[in-house]
Amino acid sequence: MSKYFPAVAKQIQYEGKDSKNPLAFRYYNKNQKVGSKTMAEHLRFAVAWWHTFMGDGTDMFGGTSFQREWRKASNPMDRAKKTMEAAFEFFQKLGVDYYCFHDRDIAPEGDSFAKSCKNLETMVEMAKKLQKETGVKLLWGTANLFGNAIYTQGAATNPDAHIMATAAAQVKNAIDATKELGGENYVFWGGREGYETLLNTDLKKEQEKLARFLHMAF
Amino acid sequence: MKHQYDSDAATTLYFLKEYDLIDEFKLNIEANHATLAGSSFEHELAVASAAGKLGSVDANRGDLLLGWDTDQFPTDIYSTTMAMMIILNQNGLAPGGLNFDAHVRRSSIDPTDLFYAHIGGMDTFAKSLLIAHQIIEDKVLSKFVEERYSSHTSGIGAQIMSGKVGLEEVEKWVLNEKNPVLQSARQEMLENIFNSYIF
Repeated sequence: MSKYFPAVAKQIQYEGKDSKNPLAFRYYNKNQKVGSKTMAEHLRFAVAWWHTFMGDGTDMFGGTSFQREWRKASNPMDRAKKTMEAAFEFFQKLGVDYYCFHDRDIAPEGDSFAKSCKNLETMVEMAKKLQKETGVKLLWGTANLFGNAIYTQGAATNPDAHIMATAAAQVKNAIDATKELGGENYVFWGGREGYETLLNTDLKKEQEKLARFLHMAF
Repeated sequence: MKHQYDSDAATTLYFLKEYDLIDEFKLNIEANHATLAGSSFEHELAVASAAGKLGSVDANRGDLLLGWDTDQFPTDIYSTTMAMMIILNQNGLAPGGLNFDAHVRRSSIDPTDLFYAHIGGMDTFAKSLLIAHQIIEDKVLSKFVEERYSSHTSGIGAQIMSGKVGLEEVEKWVLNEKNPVLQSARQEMLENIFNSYIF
């Protein structure tokens, strides 16, 4: 499979510290024993889906600068599928054992919560198949509870119970997806769990909400 | 958010204890979030690890001159070696791992740049693993640290730590002793030793 990364013809190899090949490892020698474990067992490297395949070079002063072949399809689900093909090609060529994702990285949001769940289910099926074919595993999954505008005032700590419930339902689906893919961990990141001003915030209540949210999740 | 409820390791550990969640979670420490919280990567790792709660790592680096999450690939051998010392001393991260929560710069536009970025991060951590393993094997730092706290292994130090004495007994002991003799903490010498394993 050499569809999206033709410039890298084969898997990156360990060539030792004197190698001048920029597409070779100089120290990472997967099966080399360090103490009782191999380097791969010690380091357990994972590729982050969001940055590596979804990142488009946008910063606060300018838009897209990367023209990724796998992001070109106009239909969001086609784009997600091509992105997944590119991801597994990348994992194999890099020779990495693990990857990590947010639910919204691997599957686009639909126009309803139910549609978003359906999209995730479809993409999890495809990921499961590719994991089986390649031996690449999921280190952890997580729910993106910060990108959508409904989470501007928090997800678990959002003052609106409807939004808190939506976030919890999203976590339920992300945990299910992670389990389905044999994920070895599940991560919570509270990027929007906080406050901007005490003038509108009940800090104690928000912490109680965050705790309740996490209790619900296991 | 200006004030985030999980802003650093100590804050998060307090939160998990306060709300009876501590047995269900471990911390995923991110290098760039540590520096944004005004701390260092190794401090955050050490705080989590000391609590037995270092679960996984988002391996990246920030830029101290920029006030946002730059999420760059880790290339600073000092920082990654300190990280690997903490990770090896707690016998690894499994089932967690080192996740490259990092992206190439806006001007690194080619798909091949994604390979260069990951190769750099993986090689930096692999080299750090080798260095940290050797430092730990040779016990050069751990011996010094052990010696530095050795006054607690016997006498009044052991009595204080085991809870056998209170303020009154301690005062009595101090009144019978001469003034304490200062010992050097030898930071520069230790930095040189640390460097000698890197280059």
